[in-house]
Amino acid sequence: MTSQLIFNGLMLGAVFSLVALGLVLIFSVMNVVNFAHGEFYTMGGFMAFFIFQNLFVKTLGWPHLFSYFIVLLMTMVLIGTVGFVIEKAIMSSFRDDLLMGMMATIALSIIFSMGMASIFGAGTVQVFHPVPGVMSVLGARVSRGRMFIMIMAVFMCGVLTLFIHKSRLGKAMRACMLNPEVAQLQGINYNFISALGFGIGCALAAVAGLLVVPSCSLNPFVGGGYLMKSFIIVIIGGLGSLPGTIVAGFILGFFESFGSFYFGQPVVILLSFVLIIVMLIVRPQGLMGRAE
Amino acid sequence: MQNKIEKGFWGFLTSIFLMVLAPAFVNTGYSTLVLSWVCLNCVMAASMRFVMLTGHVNFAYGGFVGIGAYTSALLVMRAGLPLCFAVLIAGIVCAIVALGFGLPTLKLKGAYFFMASFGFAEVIRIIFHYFFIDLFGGVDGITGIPYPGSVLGISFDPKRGWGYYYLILLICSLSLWVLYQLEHNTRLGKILMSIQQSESLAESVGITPMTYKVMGFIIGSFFAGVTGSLYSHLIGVIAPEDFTFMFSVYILMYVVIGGKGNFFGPPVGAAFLTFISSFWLKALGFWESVAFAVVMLITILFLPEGLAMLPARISSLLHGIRKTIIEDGENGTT
Repeated sequence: MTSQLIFNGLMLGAVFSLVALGLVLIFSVMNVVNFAHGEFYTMGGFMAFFIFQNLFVKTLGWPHLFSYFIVLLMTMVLIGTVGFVIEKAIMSSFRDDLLMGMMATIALSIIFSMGMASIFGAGTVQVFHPVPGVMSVLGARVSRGRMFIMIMAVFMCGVLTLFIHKSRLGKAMRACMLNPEVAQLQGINYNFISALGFGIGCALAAVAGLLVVPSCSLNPFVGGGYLMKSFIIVIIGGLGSLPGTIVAGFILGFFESFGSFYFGQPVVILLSFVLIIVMLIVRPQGLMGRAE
Repeated sequence: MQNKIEKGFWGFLTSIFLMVLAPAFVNTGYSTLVLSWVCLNCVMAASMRFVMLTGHVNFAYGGFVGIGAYTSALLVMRAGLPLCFAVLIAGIVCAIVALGFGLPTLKLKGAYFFMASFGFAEVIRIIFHYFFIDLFGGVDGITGIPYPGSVLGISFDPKRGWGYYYLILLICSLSLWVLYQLEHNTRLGKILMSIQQSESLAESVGITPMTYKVMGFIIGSFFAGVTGSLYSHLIGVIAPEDFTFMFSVYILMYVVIGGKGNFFGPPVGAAFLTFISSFWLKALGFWESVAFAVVMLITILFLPEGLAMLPARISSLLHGIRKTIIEDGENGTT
């Protein structure tokens, strides 16, 4: 049983990290807390439902892993572009303005979730799993699908870390995180980097949604729960710290996996809030955040 | 500045006068309900802004309103306390909870506080939903909260609902007056303003910001409890899902759309949006919240100071036009 819970915790942790990384990326680049982040997660889920399930599997008859990867790429490009355009059109007015940026993203989140509810209906839908079956690892019976989610989420986190730390664009992004004005003096196009950061952040949430949805249920309002979990992770890990976010994501994943088995879901939410309060008292800047 | 506030104050008195007369012109129970709503929302928006003076946006505000509503409903139904005591105790309970929540979290700045309060809103909802079910009623909440028949010997006519409306109007006007005085005419208000301007500068002249932040937070939450208590007796049914994060978002919309730079902004926004939503947007049904979101997005994009600044904006615009015309005329003659 314990190894089962450990695997569950690993999977949840990887997914939570993926969602929270997007939130932290957006916050560090443009200093806006993205309250519409959960809705981008849900959008990814609906990409899986609509394009993978309805189009690829039911209409074209391709229930393969390969077509799932095509949908994954499509999701990243499509939702990334949506995020990019939204930043250019609306959010660019609210860079560095915490309150107004928050109000704008709340408005967007309402518009998106109601829009999705009107298109897809408010009911819960189930999505076909591309990786069926169960396998046994170290005495635990783990569904292959969950293993797949975990590996993919860890892979995506790794790609993002590599992108941020190794590529030229990632270097420019880190410069903008540290100080936008000085970065602009070095000839970095902050307008572009900010929009790119928002797009990548949204795409990460959407990919998490796409990965998780076959193993869970999906309705237009599931994003809210992930938003709260991302907030908890961000407070524990330290806002603006990418490694801290990953560590905190796994901590919350284990917490959730063991807690909901031994105590049940409502108690876990209460306990994670207690965790936040303790964290705030002991180490307000988070696990790996910089002290002011 | 002084002049502007004076103007706002006269506007405030006029609107109270109009609100007193209003029931003479409307004849349905629904209109009275809407008028009561306007009063409650004005106080909620004003007290939310009072906490926002130090830059702390409290997403658990709806939760505090819920605590007030549950406390008052339980006190009246289970303990049989008269309403006026229940209102006061609901406020005090909220203030105590605010003290417990504020002490560890108010030292957080900006985004961190949003997130912590967001989490606390969820905690309050979950406690009402899953715990003490025989007391809080679980997911169904508390139903059949009695409509107050009389307060301090003055009996109301429950069929029309005017009596309770006047009580709400009285309490809300008083609350607004207290909040106004606290902000403009006390040491606390001035210190909160100074913390808003520059916390480190305030610290350097010997102010401990934390003490005053907690005081401001407690006062704001006290009024949340008071309005929550009045709300529960007005509606008669409360459930945990009424007091989620979205409740706070609506209050925050009133503040931002009305204009958070001025004391009279949030009440203006609250009254405007409540009237619009109860008489016109209700017809939209499903799309009501989307309409709200679009209005908010347009307001913060094109009128970031809020509706309260609209007259000043228009007059400065007119002034600018007149000036250009005069200058053009002068240029033409010379």
